[in-house]
Amino acid sequence: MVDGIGNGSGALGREAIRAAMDAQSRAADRIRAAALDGPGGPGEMAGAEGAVQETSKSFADQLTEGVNAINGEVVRAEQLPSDFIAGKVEDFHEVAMQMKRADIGFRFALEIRNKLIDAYREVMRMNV
Amino acid sequence: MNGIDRLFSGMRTLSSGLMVERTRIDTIAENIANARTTRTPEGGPYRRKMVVFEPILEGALGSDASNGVARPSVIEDMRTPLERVMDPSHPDAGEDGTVEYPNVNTVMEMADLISAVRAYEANLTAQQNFVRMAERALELAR
Repeated sequence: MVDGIGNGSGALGREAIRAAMDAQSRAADRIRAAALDGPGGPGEMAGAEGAVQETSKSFADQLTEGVNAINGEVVRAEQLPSDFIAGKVEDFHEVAMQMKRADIGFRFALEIRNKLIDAYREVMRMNV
Repeated sequence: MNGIDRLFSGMRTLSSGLMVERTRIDTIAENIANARTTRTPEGGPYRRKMVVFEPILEGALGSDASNGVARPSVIEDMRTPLERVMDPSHPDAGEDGTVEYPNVNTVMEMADLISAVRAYEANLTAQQNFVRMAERALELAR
C-alpha cells in the first residue's frame, strides 16, 4: 500500500516536472516571439511551436537582436535631451515619449532576462 | 517598422496629435499678438491664421509610418471681413479716414485656445493611459 502510494506519487512528480518544464519552455518561446515580432506578428497568438518553426534564426541571434533594439531605444533616449537643448527637437513630448519608450522597453527586456535566469536556476536546483 | 515601433505605434499616433495641437496653440498665440497689427510686409493688415488638419494614412510615408495626423498647414483667413474703424488720425488710415484692422476676434481666439489646450490634454491623457497599460502588462511577468 505504502509502496503503491510511493510509486504513484513518484510518477505524479515526474509528470508534474515534465509539464512544468514544457510550460516554461513554451512561455519562453512565446515571450521571445512576442518581443521580436510585436503584436500582430506571426508569433503572437499562432502558438509558440509555429512561431519557432517559422523563424530560422537561432535563439542567441534573436536575443541579440532584441537586446540591440532595446539598446537603440536607450541610446536615442540619452541623446534626445541634449538634442532638445541644442534646438534639434521641436516638441517637449518627443523627449518625454522617447524616455518612456526606452524605460518600458528596458524593463520588459529585464523581465524576460529575469525569467530566463529563473528557469536556469530552477533547472540547476533539480535533484539528479 | 520593427517590433518595438509597432508596440509603441499608439504612442506615436498620439504624439502627432500633441504636435498639431501645439501648432494650433502657436498659431492662436500669433493671432492674439497681432490682433491690432495694421501693416505687414505683404501690405494691408495682418490676417487671422488658421490651422488645417489632415490625417496620415498607414504606410503613406514609408514603412515606418504610423497612423495619426499630419503636420498641419497654416492658412490665412481671407473669408472673415477685416474690421473697419473710423480713425482719420491713424497713419494707416485710408482716404475715407477708416483703418482696416485684422479680422482677429480675441474672444474667439481665447475660446479656440481653451479647446486646443483641452485637446492637447486629451492626447496626453491617452498617452499616459497607454503607458499605464504597458506597465500593468509588465506586472503580469513578475
